[in-house]
Parts: sequence; C-alpha cells; structure tokens
Amino acid sequence: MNNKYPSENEVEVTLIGTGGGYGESILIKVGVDSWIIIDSCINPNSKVSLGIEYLMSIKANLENVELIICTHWHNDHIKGLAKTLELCKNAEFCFSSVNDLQKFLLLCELDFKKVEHGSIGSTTEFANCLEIVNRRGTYFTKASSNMVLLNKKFNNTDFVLYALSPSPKTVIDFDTEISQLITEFGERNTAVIKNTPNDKSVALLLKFGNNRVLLGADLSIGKDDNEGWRHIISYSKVIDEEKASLYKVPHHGSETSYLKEIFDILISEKNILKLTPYSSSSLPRQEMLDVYSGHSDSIYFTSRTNVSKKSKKRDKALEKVIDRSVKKLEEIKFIQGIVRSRINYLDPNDFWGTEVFDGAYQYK
Amino acid sequence: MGESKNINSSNRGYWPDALKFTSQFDEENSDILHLEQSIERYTDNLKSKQSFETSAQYFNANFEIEVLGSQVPKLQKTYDIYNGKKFSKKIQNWKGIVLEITTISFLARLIDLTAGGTDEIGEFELEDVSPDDIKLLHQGSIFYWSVGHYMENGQSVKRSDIRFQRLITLDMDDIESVKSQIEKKYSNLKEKKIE
Repeated sequence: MNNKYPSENEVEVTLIGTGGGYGESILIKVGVDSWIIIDSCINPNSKVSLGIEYLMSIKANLENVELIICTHWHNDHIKGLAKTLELCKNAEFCFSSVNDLQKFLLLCELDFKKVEHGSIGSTTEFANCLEIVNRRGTYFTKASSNMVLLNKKFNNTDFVLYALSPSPKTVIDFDTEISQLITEFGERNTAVIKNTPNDKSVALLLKFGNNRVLLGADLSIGKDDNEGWRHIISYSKVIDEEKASLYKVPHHGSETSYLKEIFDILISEKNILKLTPYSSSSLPRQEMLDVYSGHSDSIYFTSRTNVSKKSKKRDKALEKVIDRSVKKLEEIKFIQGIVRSRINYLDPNDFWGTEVFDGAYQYK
Repeated sequence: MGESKNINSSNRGYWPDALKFTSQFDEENSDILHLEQSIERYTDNLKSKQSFETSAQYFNANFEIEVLGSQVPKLQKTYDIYNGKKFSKKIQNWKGIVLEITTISFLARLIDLTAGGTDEIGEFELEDVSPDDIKLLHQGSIFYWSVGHYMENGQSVKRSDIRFQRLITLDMDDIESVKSQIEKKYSNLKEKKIE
C-alpha cells in the first residue's frame, strides 16, 4: 500500500471493507490534520481495528481524530469501535439519536447482563463506547437530520459535516422499539435481534468549498417521506445546489437503499461511487450493479462479489461428520479492501484521485 | 444460573450430559471454551483426591454418589463425567445464534470456539434438534453445536450434537436492579447540545 500521508491541502475519504460481517469503516481527513472516523471494522483473526491500522500505517496521529461516529449500533457494523474510541483520546463520540437515553441504556445493560450469562450481545460494543465517554467526562452527540456534527475552517475554507438522518419520525419509532425490546427481553438465552437497525442509520453530508461528499451508511429508503432517504429528499434543510462528487453507496448496494432521486437530486454526473460488498448475503446483486452502472463511470468495491461460499478447511475426518450434520455451512469470508480518494480542496479544478488496496478493485 | 447439575449415571457416555458439564464450566470460566479441554482437565482433576474435592466445592453440586473404584477409593461423592479417553482428538465446537427459522430448518451465525477466526453461517434441519430443545428454538436463541468422533465400546462413532442454552429468565427484579445501576454507572455522561 502507498503509505504517503495526505498533504495539508488534501481532503481524504477512505473506505475500508471486510467482505461483510466484520464491519466497515470510513476515515476522513479535513483541513490540515483533522480526522473523522465513521463506524469500525476488524480483522476477525487478529481482532485489530482496521481503521486504526490504516491510520497508523500512514503515520497519522490518533490524537488528531476529533470525531467518531457510530452510524447504527449493531455489533455487526461497529466491531472494534470501543477500542478505536479508547485509542483516540481526543475524539468525541456521536451516534444515531434516541430520545430517551436512559431507556436505551437500560436495553444495553440488560443485553450486557445476558452476555455475562453466556448469551451473545448485540449492543455491547456500543455500551462499551458510552462507558469510555462516561469515564472521560467528554461530550457525546446524538445525531439526527439537519444537525451539524463538525464545523471547522482551514485556509478560508469551511468544512461542515451534517447528519442527514435519522428523521424525527424514525427517532420516535425507535423509542417505541426500545420499549418493546425491553418488554420482550425476558429470557437470557436469547440475543436481541433488531430487524430494522438500518432505518436508524446516520447518513452524512460533508461540504467544503464546492465539493460535496455523501456517505449513505446503511440507510434504507423508508416507507414514506417521513423516513430514510425519502425524508432526506423531501425535507432536508442542508441540501443545496451543489451535488456530491463522491458517494458511499448505502447498505452494500442493496435494493432497499436505492432511490433514483438520490442520483437526480444529490449526486453529480461526474462522480465516484464506493461500495462495500456483503458476500454472505450476495450483495450487491447484479441487477443493482447494472442500475448503479447507469449512474456512474467510476465504481469501486472494497472486495469481489463472487466470493466462494465454502466452509472452512478442517481435518478431513471432521469435515465428513460436519457435512453429514448440517444442511449448509458457509464461512463468512474476511476480505480486507481499501478504497482511498484524495482531492486538493484549494484547487477548484481538482477531482478525486482514487486508489485501491488489498482486495479492493475498480468495478467500472 | 445454568441448567440442572444432576447427571444421571444411566446417561453415562453420552455427549449431551458432557455438554451440560461443559456449559457449566463455560459459565464459571469464560476462557475455557473447548469441550475437549474441559473434559481432559476435569479428568485430570479426578486423579487427585485433593483436586477433586476442590472441584466438588467449586461446582457446588449435589451429584449422585458413585464410587470410582480403585482409582480414588475413599471418595464419597463424584461426578458422572466420562473418561477423557472416550473422546478422540477430533472435536469441533461452535456457539450459534439463530437468525431465521423456516418450517423445516433454521439458519444460524456460528462462532468457532475451537479455532476462532472467521464466523460461519449454518443451516440445520429442525429434525436434528431434540424434542426437549425444539421449544427453545426461536430467533435470537443461543446454542452449542459439537461434532466429532466419539469412542463407544471401543468403536469410533461420529456424532453431532446441538444443545440449546438454558438460562434463567430475567425477571422484574433483575430489570429494576439494572435500572438502579445505570444512573450510577453513567453519571458522568454529558450530551453536547448543538444546532
């Protein structure tokens, strides 16, 4: 990998993927030396946080990480986030809004109690982050639509990061869902399964000069214009006439997160699309790839989509018993891939220079 | 905590009971996750009266009285734990979480307890779940899956066992207790008020 640190005048947006199942992460450098980390992922073998590993490889100072954003609090998407927060001592923590934090903390603590008794936690990574924030006495931010999460000025250029979601209705619905989850919590041998965590995702818009970067998290389109992308398109107060030249496609390019209006209204014709495939769910599907290809000439994936779904290699005698005992057994492959884009924000004619590393590649 | 510790000697030699023991062991020592290691370790303990008594105290169990013969003649209480030699070295254990259930099968994410590393997705036939366990099968439920070679009467038998976790249900007292802890635990949380 090219470990060259971005220059003072460069903005960097780097997407790290794992092939699905072990999280994903976006690293953004704004201004001279300020970093933002969005979500987290790990190498399941070494348990190392890949975002931290990347920042250290380019010799970034972790003390310059100013903000860590958890777009949604499902462990599958934020693996290693607590460790990341621990290492970035000056970072503030931001997460998808919830009205009744005490109730949400109750859910997290009950979930943690289950883990103590041998269950599998769904919110433990998130709860650990809150514990770090509590210990440090630093501030946390609950992100919701139209909120400014970061506002900095360098070389007479404003860098503003906005939350585009969750919508007010989604936040209210989430409170109801938490109450329901607590009511149904009961048995300790059951992990909390949340069917709709993607609805609460924090989609983000970064503005600097005439540039716009749209980061879709896992946000789904929503049932109506009170939810998801439909709400952003209809009611966002922070969208302006400038369109995004870089778009992190939401939810592994799934159909549930695609809306033509996103491209009509928010994305410029000349653009870079970045996407993290989820191999075990076969995302993105070919029909969606065809759709996205119609919107862009530059599409980058953090890993291949046609990943083998075989089970792990084991002792031959064991494999025979396993084959007889299970209908299907597939490894959730770990494939690290990095798609890095940089742009000189002081040059109005500059466009994103994009490089791929490890398992990442340019699809189109 | 945990399920019944009573082990009936008539069940001797079967994995499910051994798994009961392992499950108990796991809850006490989260770093001890491998069935084989647990059994071998316990069997080693049985060779010493001193350590067995310690183990007995440790598990705080009221198991069936049984004399193990000449190996430990003075023992009054013992466990019906199977000799480590009954197990071959080829054992694989997973911890699973149920993701989806259909009319004939269920899908689960599997954490490899033997080798660690990457997770797996497994699909199991419902008919492979014991009648006692099928009532515990629902979305989110946790189970252990073990496969391997098992020695029975000198013969190597291939076995696969799915055992759903049995834990005490959280009650209102638990929830109230957690509520009271939250205020103290997160007393220093400060929300940043921004536009």
